[in-house]
Amino acid sequence: MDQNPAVDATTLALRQATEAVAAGDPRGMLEHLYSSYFLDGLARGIQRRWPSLSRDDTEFVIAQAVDALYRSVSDGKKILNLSAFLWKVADRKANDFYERRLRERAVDPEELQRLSDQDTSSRGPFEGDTGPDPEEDYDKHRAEAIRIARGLLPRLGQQNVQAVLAYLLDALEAGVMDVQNQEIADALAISIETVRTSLSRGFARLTRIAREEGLVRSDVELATLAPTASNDPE
Amino acid sequence: MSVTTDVKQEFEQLISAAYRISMDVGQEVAELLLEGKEKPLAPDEAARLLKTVITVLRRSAAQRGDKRAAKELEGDIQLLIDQVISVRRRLDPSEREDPTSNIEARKQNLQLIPRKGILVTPVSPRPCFHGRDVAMNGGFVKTTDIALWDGNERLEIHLGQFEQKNGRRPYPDELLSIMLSEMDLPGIPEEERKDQFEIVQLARSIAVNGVRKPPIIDSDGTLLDGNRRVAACFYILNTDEFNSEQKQLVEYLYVWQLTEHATEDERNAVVVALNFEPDCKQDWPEYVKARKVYAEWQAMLAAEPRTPGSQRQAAMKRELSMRFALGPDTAVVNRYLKMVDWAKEFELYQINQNNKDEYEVKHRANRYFQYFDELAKGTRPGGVAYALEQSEAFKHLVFDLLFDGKFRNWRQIRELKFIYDNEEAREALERARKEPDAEMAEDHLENAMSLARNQRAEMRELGANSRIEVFVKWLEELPIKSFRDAIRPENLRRLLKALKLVETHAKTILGEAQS
Repeated sequence: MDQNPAVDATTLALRQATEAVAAGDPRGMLEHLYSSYFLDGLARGIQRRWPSLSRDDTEFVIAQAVDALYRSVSDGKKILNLSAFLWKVADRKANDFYERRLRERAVDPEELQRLSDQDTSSRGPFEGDTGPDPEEDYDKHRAEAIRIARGLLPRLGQQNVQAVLAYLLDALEAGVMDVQNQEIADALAISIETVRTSLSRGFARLTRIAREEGLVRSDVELATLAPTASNDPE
Repeated sequence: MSVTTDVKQEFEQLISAAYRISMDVGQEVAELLLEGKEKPLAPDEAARLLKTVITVLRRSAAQRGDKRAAKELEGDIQLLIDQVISVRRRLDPSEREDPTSNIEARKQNLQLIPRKGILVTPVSPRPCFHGRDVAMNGGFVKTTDIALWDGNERLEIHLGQFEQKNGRRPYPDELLSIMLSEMDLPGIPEEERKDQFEIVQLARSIAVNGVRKPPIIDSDGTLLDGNRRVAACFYILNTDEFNSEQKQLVEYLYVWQLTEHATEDERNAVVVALNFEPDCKQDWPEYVKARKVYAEWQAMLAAEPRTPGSQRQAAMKRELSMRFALGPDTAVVNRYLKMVDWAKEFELYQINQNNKDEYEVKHRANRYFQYFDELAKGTRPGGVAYALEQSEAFKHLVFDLLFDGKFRNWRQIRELKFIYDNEEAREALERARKEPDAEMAEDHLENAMSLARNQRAEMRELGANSRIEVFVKWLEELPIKSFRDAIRPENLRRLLKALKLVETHAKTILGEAQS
């Protein structure tokens, strides 16, 4: 009957959610996730960070994150930190929404205006975008960007820095949404501290080299590449 | 390096994505959890979010052909949302209203579901409770959808205490705490404060075998029979002792459910039949259980490529203990193994050397099995097992007394450690073996125990005075004929020699004192 007091209800609910996913039980996953209050916090966090997203959009990105979690575990991927995974995925999906909106504005403001004037009440967030599918171009550009980034790795210097960034590029290419430092440390047989240092140095050097090569805008700083509330000025 | 604007844009995005997926968000996530707890979504917001999540999950499952997930999420979406929300309500007191009104409000049917190819069907033949046929359906429910029954007579005193203290009936999780003996209620005897309802023991059994007797629920999911079984399932689902496979085993339960047409009389018939009428179930004798464990242990040892070391043996015993639902502590397994070792030696001796019938011997071993626990104790000097191992003859003497049922209780077994090196006590024990009359045999046995006790008493005395007093008293009370019939000549010679020595010392000392 002894219970570990450190395992509080939230941690337990999140662990049970992970177990439910592993057991192929999406309903159980949802029950435990909801019981943990993390979905509430996630909704509040996304709303705060991306104020321009509608309530529908916010709910949709959270739903996509939960779905990504279920699919990832179903595909045999190990999720070391469920809440971190959901947060990162939801944040990334929100970022995608935001970027898409920016592109739409840049391309054709009048068209966007026309669309917004239309009655959209019957159109749920699950319906696809109208217009040409940019998926193919995106894949091509993403593959090229990854190829360029890999080409820059030898210029990052220290072996660990190169290995850690290479691991991240592989993860991105494989569509991984969350990489924990512990995972990198285990994979490369280095300490978590080394991973942390290598990431910090690697991103700083990669940004500097990319700027020198004209691959990123000269005014771009690493901090602005990371998701922050300032990304969404609305 | 010549690249297009699109690729440059994508490169920026790539670095951003790389940064994002590798970011340490521990602090942010902790804050989100706190915020979620402190500022939960309003009920309508939560319902909307859950609706979107379920819709996306359903669509995704359909797209990738995940039939299992699709099946889990099928049905009325509002019902699913209500169920998800109700789980949190059930677990978190701050989410709830008055439990009584909640229960009243929950008077909707809990739907049974098919699972693992077992359909929802009427229980046939129709079960009989307290002389009355009651229509029921059999099917699965999610364990967490079952509400423990706070009308259970077993809990009457506890519930009364709770109500007196809190002015209300307990919430479901509080009811579970009571059943798990986790709630501090005054007046419960100290020895019953730990797992009074033996839920943990039951949980360990269920984790191995599943729930074998279907709990019975009312149409709204309230338990009518099976409170302990369901509480044990909750315990499995909520503790670290059990692995995900074991948790999965109890995630859904096969239950019998009253139909929506059930009358109050039928409900009462079920409760009376299952909670008041004895089911006359009798546990296996410990002898049988211990032998099963022993046989499994032998099989495990045989499967090992080499003789396992002590660490490996400890791990194997833990596995064995879990396999027999005896929990992670291997004390019971160790006890069983030792007891069976002794029982087997007893059986071999009786069958091979005394030519007793095998099954007669097994019946005796079964009947006196608890005594083997005492025989197995104390393998170091001063212990019973040690004493028996010092002499085969002594061991066989004890086995014979055991076979003939001449030991009255386990305390006598414990005294054996003082008898083996006490010649007179052993002789008394020998006389008990030979004596066909039960009462006379008992006297001899008691005599042996007394001799051993006397010796122990003497041993405990530090002063010579006490020893002499005991000896002189004994000597004076010894019948004269014993000098002729019972005392061996060499002992008589030793006594005489000792008394002459005493005489010499006594004359000197007493003479000096008198002068």
